[in-house]
Amino acid sequence: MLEPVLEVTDLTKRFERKGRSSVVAVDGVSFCVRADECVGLVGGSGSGKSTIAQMVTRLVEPTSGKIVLCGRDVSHVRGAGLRAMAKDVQMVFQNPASSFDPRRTLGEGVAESLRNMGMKKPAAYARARELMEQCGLSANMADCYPREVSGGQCQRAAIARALAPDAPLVVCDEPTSALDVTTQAQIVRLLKRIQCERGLAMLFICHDLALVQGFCDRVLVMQNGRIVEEGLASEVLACPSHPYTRLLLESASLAKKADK
Amino acid sequence: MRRYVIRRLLQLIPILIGITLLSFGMMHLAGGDAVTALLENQGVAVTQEVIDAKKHELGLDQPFMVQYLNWFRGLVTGNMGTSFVTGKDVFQTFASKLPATILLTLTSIIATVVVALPLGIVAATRQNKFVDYLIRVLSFVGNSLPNFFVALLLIFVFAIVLGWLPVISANIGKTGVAAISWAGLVLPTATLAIAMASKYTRQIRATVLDELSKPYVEGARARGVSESRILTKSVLKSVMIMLVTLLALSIGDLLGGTAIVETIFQWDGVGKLAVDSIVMRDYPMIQAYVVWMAIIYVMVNLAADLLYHYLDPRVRLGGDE
Amino acid sequence: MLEGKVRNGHTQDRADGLTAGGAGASSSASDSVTVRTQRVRRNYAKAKLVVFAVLAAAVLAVAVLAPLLCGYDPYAQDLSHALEAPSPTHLAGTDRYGRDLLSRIIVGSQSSVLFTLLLVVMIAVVGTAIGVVCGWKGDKLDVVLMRTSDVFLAFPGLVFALAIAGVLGGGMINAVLALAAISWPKYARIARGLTLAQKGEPYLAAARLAGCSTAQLVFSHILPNIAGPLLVTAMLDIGTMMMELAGLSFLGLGAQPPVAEWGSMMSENRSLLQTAPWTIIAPGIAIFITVMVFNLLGDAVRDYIDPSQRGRRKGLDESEEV
Repeated sequence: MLEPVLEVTDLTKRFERKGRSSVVAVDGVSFCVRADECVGLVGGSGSGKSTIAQMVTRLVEPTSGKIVLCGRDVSHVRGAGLRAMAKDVQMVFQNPASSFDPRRTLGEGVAESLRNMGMKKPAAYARARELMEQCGLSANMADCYPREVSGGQCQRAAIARALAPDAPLVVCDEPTSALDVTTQAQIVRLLKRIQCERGLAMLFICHDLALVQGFCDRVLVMQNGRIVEEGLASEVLACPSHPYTRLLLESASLAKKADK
Repeated sequence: MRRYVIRRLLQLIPILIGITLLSFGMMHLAGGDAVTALLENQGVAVTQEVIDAKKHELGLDQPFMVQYLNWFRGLVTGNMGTSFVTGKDVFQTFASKLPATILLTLTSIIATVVVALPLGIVAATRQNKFVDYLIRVLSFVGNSLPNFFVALLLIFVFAIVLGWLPVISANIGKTGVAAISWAGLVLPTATLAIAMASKYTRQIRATVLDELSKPYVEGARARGVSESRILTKSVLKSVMIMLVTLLALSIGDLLGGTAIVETIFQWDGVGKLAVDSIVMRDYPMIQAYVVWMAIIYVMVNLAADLLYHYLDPRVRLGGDE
Repeated sequence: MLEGKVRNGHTQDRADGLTAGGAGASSSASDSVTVRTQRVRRNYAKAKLVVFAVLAAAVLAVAVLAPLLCGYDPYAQDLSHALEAPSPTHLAGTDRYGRDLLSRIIVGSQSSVLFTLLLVVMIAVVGTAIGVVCGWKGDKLDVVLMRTSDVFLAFPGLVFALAIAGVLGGGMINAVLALAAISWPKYARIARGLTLAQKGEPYLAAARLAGCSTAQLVFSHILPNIAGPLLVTAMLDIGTMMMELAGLSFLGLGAQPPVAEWGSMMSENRSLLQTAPWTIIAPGIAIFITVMVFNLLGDAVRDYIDPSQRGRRKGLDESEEV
């Protein structure tokens, strides 16, 4: 059995608020993600799933608990150690357009991590174009600005960006929530293809259980900062045991019926 | 609400300490010059002994913090010392010059609003017509003329060439309230009003245009509401808010006594007092002026914030703290 | 099977790419009329910017090349020709020492224009730096610096300026320092607000994940995105600062005689308002024209960079020029 790419133990995040009681967004969460495995993290708003994404990528520092990424404990790492994480974990954000610097072209955004790792400009941009093409964009889109392209195209560029440093773990934080339904399906297909081809470990966060179906291998259901159910996707979706999971499932199928 | 007001008023203390300490420090750095200048002004022969004696008399030979604390203690008890130049009580002198500045402030503000408000609204409602262009050109020109130039031009035209108004705006030989000459009020007011009205007109025009382009105005028009009613009912509110902002900025400057205008017209207010005191190195008077500025700053900002809240209850008190 | 899907997805997006890329700056469902008017207005704004930039550059050239442009020596006294009204030999007349006024005005542009630009650059750079640090770091540093800026805002500028003159002596540099000390808070506040707004944007998180250091985030990402409004503010301030600097000189600070500076020239000739008004009016007009040029330039920059700042109705109207 391979070492998991990401191992999270007893992760907790407490937010202090001035003059009011503190909020516990994540409460003692433990899970792991292995290579070539797609783990879905599902829950409603306020369940803490986005906070987990931020902690795993160390955009936020955990209050307590341990995060081990590629065998390294990154729970409280700073400075250069933090920057080195770029080659281990990448993220695809919820809002495609605002995840790119509005004053830079998409190509520059995709190539940024490569430039930071020391690659020269021409090589980095060539590689960026290559990646963008692999994600279904035309190479000349590298010269477009985020406001000039559609949400779906922007998200494809974001995926290309996430692939650039060849990180073994990719975290997707609700990557389809800001897109329309047809584009959603395209992006999910792209992610699935990428994950299979490269054998990536993927943490897929969303609030829609239906999306998770057919995409994720395992699924974790979160409520109020805790994991209330976990297991193989097929099993959990077929026979949910926790009432909250059932609730989510019902909402998903209701939405599906409404679509039809 | 009351707690908010009290909290804001309490902010006066750190600001007061901050700026009086700052100005005290700067005066202190200029040190000996003050005494020398003072003695020379009094026609006293300047030797080292005389300087030292005067310094001791004025308490200037004590360590910095001691001097400052003494002064601060005096401030709290209402005694701001005596002027180095005239020997009179600082507080009384200062207070006697305030009415002139306050009067000028009032007339300037009234003149500005009377001119800028209608002009701004007219310019907006007749956008891009000749009237609008004319008003915009005038306000642009007004913004590009330094106030001392305007003052001198006005004197030249109205006092020298036409002879309608006096060149010097004060009753010669008198000070304080008695120096206020009503005919002499016109030119300083005009000078200040021209500068402010130019700025206000542009802003008011922009605000009105902005409001008129909002969807609810289109809706009102479609419902058959008359243009003037739209203006007075809805647009006026946002104009008022803009006006409060502008006034808050201007009143602070005006109550500080526009030094240049007061100096040119010899208008005996606190601005002229400030300039004279600084030239004469009259420390206690300068400190009094600085205290006054701190008070205005806090009061005006507080009044403006309260007015915002009154005009638009959505505005929460204590916004970005 | 998989490749088929890929190819389909590829072609689909290429088609999307062509339509999205080709329409330029317009959003979806673009009304071609709106796009045309937008482009026309943008070109008009650009033309205005070029025109006024050229004018301002001309003023700047005069200031830099001033000594070469004077017909007479600005400091040469010729008492036999004192207080002459404007004439073909002395286009702006002479002052009480017989010095050619036009030459003095030309040389005076060096003090007025160059020092003003120095002042504005200073407060923009220092204010922005402090504002960005406050916005980025937040916390105690933010509170301390903002309270300090409160103190400087409350401080009467005149007292500060004259006190600096008292401590350091007169001269334009000190006047610039004094004005800089009380003017930086405006830029700090703007920069701080803009930085705070940028802090919440995901693209900064993405840049962090791409391995950017804090310095890179600030300089490569935040600064370019907040530069626009700050630049506009600075450009619009040039005229105001020029007048303030002239005002300080008028009161006796700043330039000391016999240095030629427009404000001090007007002050030293104040008593001649009745007998020789040109000695006051000529420098005044010089200030007026220069301030006007820079105000026009500032407006043009604002209209070009951020058209939403103009007051407009129905989207088809002219800018807030003049």
